[in-house]
Amino acid sequence: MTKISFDNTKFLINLSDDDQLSDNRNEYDVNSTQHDSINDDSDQQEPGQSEIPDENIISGEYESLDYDLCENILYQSEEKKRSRRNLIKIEFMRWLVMFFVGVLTGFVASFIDYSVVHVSDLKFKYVRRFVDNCVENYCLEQPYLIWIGFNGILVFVGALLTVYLEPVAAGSGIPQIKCYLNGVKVPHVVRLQTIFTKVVGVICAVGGGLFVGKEGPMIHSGAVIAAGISQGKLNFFRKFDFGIFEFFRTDTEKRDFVSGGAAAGVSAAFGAPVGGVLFSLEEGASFWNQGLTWRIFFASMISTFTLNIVSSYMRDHPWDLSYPGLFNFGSFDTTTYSGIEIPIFIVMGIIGGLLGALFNHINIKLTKYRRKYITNKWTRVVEAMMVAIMTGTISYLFLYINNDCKAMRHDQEEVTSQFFCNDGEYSSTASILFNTPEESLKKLFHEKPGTYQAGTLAVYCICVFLTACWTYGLFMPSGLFIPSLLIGAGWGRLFGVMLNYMFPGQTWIDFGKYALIGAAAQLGGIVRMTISLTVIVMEATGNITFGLPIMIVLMVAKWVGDLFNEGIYDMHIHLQGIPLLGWEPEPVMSNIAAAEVMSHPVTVFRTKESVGRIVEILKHEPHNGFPVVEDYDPFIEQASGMNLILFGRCRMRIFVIALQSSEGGAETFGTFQGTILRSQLIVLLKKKAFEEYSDSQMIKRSLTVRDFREAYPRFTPIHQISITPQERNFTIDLTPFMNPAAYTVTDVASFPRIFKLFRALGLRHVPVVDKRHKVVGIVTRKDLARYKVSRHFGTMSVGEKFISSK
Amino acid sequence: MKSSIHSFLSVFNLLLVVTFLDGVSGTLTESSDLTSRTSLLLNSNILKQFERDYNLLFSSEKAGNSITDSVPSTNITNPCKEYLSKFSEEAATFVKCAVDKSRPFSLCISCIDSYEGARSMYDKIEQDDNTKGGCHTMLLDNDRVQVLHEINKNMKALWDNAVCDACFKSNSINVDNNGTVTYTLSQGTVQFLTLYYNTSTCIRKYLNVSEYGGFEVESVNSSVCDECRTFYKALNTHFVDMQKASSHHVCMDLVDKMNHTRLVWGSTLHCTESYKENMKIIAIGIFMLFLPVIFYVSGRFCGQRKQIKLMTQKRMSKKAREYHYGSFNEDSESEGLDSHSSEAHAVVYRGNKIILPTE
Repeated sequence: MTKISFDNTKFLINLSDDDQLSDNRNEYDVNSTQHDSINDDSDQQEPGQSEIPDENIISGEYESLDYDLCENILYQSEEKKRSRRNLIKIEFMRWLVMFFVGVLTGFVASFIDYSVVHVSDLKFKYVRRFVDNCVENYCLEQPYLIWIGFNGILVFVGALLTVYLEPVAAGSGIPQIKCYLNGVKVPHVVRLQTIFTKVVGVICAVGGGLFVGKEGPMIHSGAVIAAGISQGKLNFFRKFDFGIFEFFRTDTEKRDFVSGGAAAGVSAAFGAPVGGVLFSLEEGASFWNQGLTWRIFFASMISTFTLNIVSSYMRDHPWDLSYPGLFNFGSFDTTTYSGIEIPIFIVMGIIGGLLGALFNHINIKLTKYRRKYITNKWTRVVEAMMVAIMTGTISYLFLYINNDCKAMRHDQEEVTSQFFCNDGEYSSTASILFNTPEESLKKLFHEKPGTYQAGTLAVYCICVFLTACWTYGLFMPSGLFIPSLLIGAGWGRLFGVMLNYMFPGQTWIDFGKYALIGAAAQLGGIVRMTISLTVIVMEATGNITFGLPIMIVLMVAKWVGDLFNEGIYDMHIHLQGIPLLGWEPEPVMSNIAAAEVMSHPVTVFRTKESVGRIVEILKHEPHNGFPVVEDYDPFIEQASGMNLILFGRCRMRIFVIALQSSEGGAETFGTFQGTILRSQLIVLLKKKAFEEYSDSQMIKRSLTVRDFREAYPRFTPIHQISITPQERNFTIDLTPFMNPAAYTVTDVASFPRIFKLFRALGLRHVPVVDKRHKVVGIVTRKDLARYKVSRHFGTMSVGEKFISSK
Repeated sequence: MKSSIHSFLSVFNLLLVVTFLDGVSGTLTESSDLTSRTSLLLNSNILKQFERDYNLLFSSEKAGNSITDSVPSTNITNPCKEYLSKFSEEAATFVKCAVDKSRPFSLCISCIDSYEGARSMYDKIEQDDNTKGGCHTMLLDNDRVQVLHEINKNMKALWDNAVCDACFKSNSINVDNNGTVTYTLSQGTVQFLTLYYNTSTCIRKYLNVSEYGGFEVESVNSSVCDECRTFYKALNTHFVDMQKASSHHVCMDLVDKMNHTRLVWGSTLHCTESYKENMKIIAIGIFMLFLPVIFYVSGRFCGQRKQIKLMTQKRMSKKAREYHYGSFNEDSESEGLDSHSSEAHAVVYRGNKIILPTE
């Protein structure tokens, strides 16, 4: 690591080359400058040359949600006017929205399910017919070509949509929802075209034979539905504004509804309403909110109920509501276990953790490669198609080589294929490969002992492991639950078969039970979720007595996996550079103070600010929140900013920006009064609430919270607001609009303290003030998220991440 | 250990006796199934006492010597008794027939007479309510076990499970008052049986037929495959058509015949045609396996790498912090401050010991 020193400032920017950086990744330091010249090219580094790993960069494109209420005078006057009747109406609306969220999520889930089943049926019917015919007529390449052709075309459609229409719909959607519920505004995540891409894409993906599930996308769909309904308008079609639910047009309300939608999605996907609620709480909710949780539960229940009704019609048993969920694992009513088996479960948990860590490791390497080299849109489409074709190829070759024949029972011909088996037998390999992943999973859980040979299971397991690992991260909507469960069920069943070899004739060895435990272990090892996963598996099997083994297995799998790496969702989140805040601040951070965490030269507004300055700052600064201060002259600050000394490039890759601080101490930025958001300023500029206009008092009085909500969620960019040169000299009084009761911290506050404040209250900005209540800095989510603790063989070290510009 | 088990058992026996005696004075139906189990434990006095009570309840006749002799009969009227014996006859015939015809499976066509007979008899009993002879109440509603109902239910379950009705033309089954059953086989069944007859006679020429319908291989020469293939194919195709037409609800008689023929055809005679020697598949497959390799390697060299612009973070300089900041700073030595703030990210924790890197 290169350290460059200048006379009175020690080290500033050290960007070293590849090898060095990866060696001392944790010690690099971007302790940088004081100036804010975002547009100054020489200020910016080019990581293309210096090769900073992706997980060490926080992407600048992510912003926070405004979860905290802005309690300005307008808000307070609105609250004061609120009648009891009005409050009841709002509460009723909340329940109504949750009801519709549940119903619609149920319908969307049913639609996905119905389409997936029928598309796959169509495909496999064709392939099976050709196989049966071609086995006798030397044309076995025909069904193969049909199979991969079908896969290729469907996946092409899905990938095309994903890549060109809405890339955020790629993947499972759980990471995105997790981030959203954590308080990060992931662009486009709850848009109409996202849900369209997601739904069509996932049908194409599962129908196209990829080893993916539809559960993650269902959760995402639920979230989008919730966000959409709660707003009562469609931004996609600008004219669709129903005007209802206007009160809910804030980030706070929207995020609450999205947590309900995610829960409804889970409950529709697994038939697990309680699991859905717990999922929302585990992944999202910052703090326990009894009323909200109750509403979330309501949405979950309604969603399962709707789904059951639709399923009952689809299966010709109208109103027979005993079909819980699209995918449940079938009921394991006879499964019992004894205490002696618990060590066996623990061993399986360890295997699950190890395999999960391996899965994540391979997948993350692949994802990094993809981020580096597969960057063209069309190559992404080609890659997805290629994986689909390869999945078909591997399955077909596996079928071709492995000939596991079983005597046909009663009357199962409709779902099996004979392949190379003698007449009167069916190929058990084909029975798991000529099926949707869910059906294969049920077969692994419930088929009689002896259906699958150990060899078949082992090869199947390896194939699914590799292809699923390869598939996740493609530009296709793709859930990870089903493939993980498939891998686990495969080796779990194999484990059962092995136990049977070791202890022949033991009655307690039930293959289905071990398949289930294996599935849970593998899933736990990959996604590392805890409470919600246990409950989901319990609900999906309808078996409460089996709760403890599942819990033990998930716990062990998580612990073992965590020794090696993070859960796959977290890894992808970090790779994308989303500033996610974990549950707790890292343990070694307590000696970092606010003064170091904060961004230092703060752009502030005075309580009476000139329009020209507001416009200039909004145009040139990317920030979203600004402290409002008194006793401050911005033009002195600008003068001191000129002290920045810029050194040019020293050698190819090293930029050195040194600075001399003006008076040997940092400046302050006036006495803190409140904070104001960019969106509020834009509304003020648009409404021209300038003091100099004669009717300014009228305008100010007529402005309500409603005006600020109107534009939500897409505010006009500053460039589109026309301000005449004359108006630039006018002033705006920000006092009635700013949030006067914003949370602040003092400059000696510790990192964990600020972190907890952010995490628990969902804050977006926290101004840092000194003893005299002067603003000295501002802390945002990215300032907190840039710290990274790495553990390596008992050593812990803290490093900082880079932040990329938008 | 052993003694404890003994004592447990004796307590258990005692309990049984107690419950049994309770039962005698209370509800007889509850305890009657205990008789056989507990009789050994009871001394003969109690047994005698029980028999007397039992018979007193059900008949005015003098009690016989044993429980089995004392069939309560007087309160069952003659028509009902007749129903009972007829039903028992038919049901017994059906059960015998079903067991006999279970292998090779031909339950449906062979046992329809007794099945329908028993069923119609049961129907008659059910319809015989209080306005007629009252046998319904007498025979079906008088105890917890409901023997007739259970047996009828089991027979029906067996029948339905085998999808037997599919063998016959719909609504062709009739039972007249004398209990004579008439029926017609469905068109598909007749055709299937003809084809089956053709196939099996063809195959039989080469095989011994064992007692239970299994074939024993005498000498298999490949000519059997060529000679019988047309018959077999016709049979197979017809069966598949039937399955399709009835959405897989084909009478089990036929399914079993077909399964069996297929097994013989495939496993015994080795006549299944499948050709695995198809190099095209392997060739295409291997070609496909190379695609990803080409894709990723070319991606490595041709892929355009995205350039990310880093933002300059606005941070307070260390110097400024040192001089200006915080209540700590003003009171404490500047050295302490150093380790407190700016070096924090270089602090390395090893186990419990904190090592500060030296400059």
